Amino acid sequence: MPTTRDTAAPLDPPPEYQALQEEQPIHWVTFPNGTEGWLVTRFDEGSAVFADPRMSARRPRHDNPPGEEPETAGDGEGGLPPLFVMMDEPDHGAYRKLLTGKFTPKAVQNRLQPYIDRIVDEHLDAVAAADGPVDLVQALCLPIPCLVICELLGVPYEDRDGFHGATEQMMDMSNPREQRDAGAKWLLDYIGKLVEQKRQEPDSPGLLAELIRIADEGNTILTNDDLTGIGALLLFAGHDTTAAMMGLSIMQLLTHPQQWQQLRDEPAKIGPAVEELLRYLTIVQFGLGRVAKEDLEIGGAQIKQGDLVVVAMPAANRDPRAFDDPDMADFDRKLTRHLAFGYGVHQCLGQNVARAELKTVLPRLIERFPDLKLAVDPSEVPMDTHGTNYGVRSLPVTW
Amino acid sequence: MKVTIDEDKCCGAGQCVLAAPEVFDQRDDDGVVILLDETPAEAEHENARTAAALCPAAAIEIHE
Repeated sequence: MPTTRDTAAPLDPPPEYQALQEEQPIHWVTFPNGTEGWLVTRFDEGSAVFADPRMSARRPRHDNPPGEEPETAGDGEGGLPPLFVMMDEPDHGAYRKLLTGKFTPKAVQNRLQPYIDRIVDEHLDAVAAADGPVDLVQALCLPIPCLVICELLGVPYEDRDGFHGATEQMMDMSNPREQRDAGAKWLLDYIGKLVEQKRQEPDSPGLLAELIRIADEGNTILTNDDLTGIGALLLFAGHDTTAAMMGLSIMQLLTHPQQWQQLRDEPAKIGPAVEELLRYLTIVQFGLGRVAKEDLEIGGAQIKQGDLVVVAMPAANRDPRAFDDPDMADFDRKLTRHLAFGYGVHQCLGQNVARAELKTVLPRLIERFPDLKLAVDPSEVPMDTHGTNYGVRSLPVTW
Repeated sequence: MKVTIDEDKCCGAGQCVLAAPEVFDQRDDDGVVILLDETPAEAEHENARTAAALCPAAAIEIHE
């Protein structure tokens, strides 16, 4: 599986994908940990994999570091207990339906947008007050998604250093397994204690307390382990992803001044621009896997029951069969859809929260700092090549 | 144009509401799609088609 990016074009997927894609839609490859399976690089075939009920979400990890045994199918992300992201229907739907009402565009607009507006402005004020270059990863990209998911869940933001450290430990695939598991254990213990605490305070705000109230009303589907698992999953899935996407988006705009200017001139363009950035920058760098429940055929390949099938979303989202000039970020593109949030019934639950954050941060950053520029050469921006999500490690800017 | 929805398939992603807010809404409690207008006016046809194309669960069908 190609994993190395071209240092001269760090926002493009590994260049080898293009040749793979031209040859055929699906290839038998070896993943970083030595596991073998199918890699889908085209858009239509990738969408079909995610939409196919014969494809199970109970999959082994394929993105562990070289030489490491894959975790057993059914294990959650980095040692979390089995979670609804690893379940098939009807179990997955039963869990997801408990959460979806809190993640609709309307719910995000009504309950979170005022909060997002406030914290974005506060953080931009802090940037403006700083003297000299500022690292926007530390100043905006990490704290804002973290604050938003804490607000949504009802997790005390004061504890952020602990769970952010634990998340980093879990998601950095260059760490040994023991260290990643230790991160996951920390997160589970933390949320477990929080669940206990919230049981004592039944009226406390946030999604976690709400789920506890649902469980207490006799909804037998939610066990204590479920509550802990869902809380931990949302906490880590909600902040690392959006932080990565925010950092890459700002870097794209700073290295393409005409796009910065376009959003400055036409702030209403932000919706299509964010959709295009999601497609163009697709952060899920090693793709997302499924396991075939039966023998089947995809893109001319004969898949056997039990085979791992991974959709390389960054490649599929640059498929010239699906997008004209796929390697150009074009805010005027008439975009139908992309795979940045996946596809099928598992499509990212938090996608509308991520959109709201990006659609708030980017225009306000441009408005407040019209002359913002990178404080280093773009080639010196350190990229995160080891995490499950691709991103920038720091983004020093001046204005 | 006639629009139909399959509530059982819906996974509440909200793509339909973003694409065609005049045609679709979502239930507050579980996010399941609500069809506001099963025979949308011509001005809404393109949005309705986009909503059907975006729906990750193929829960929307457009009959033209």
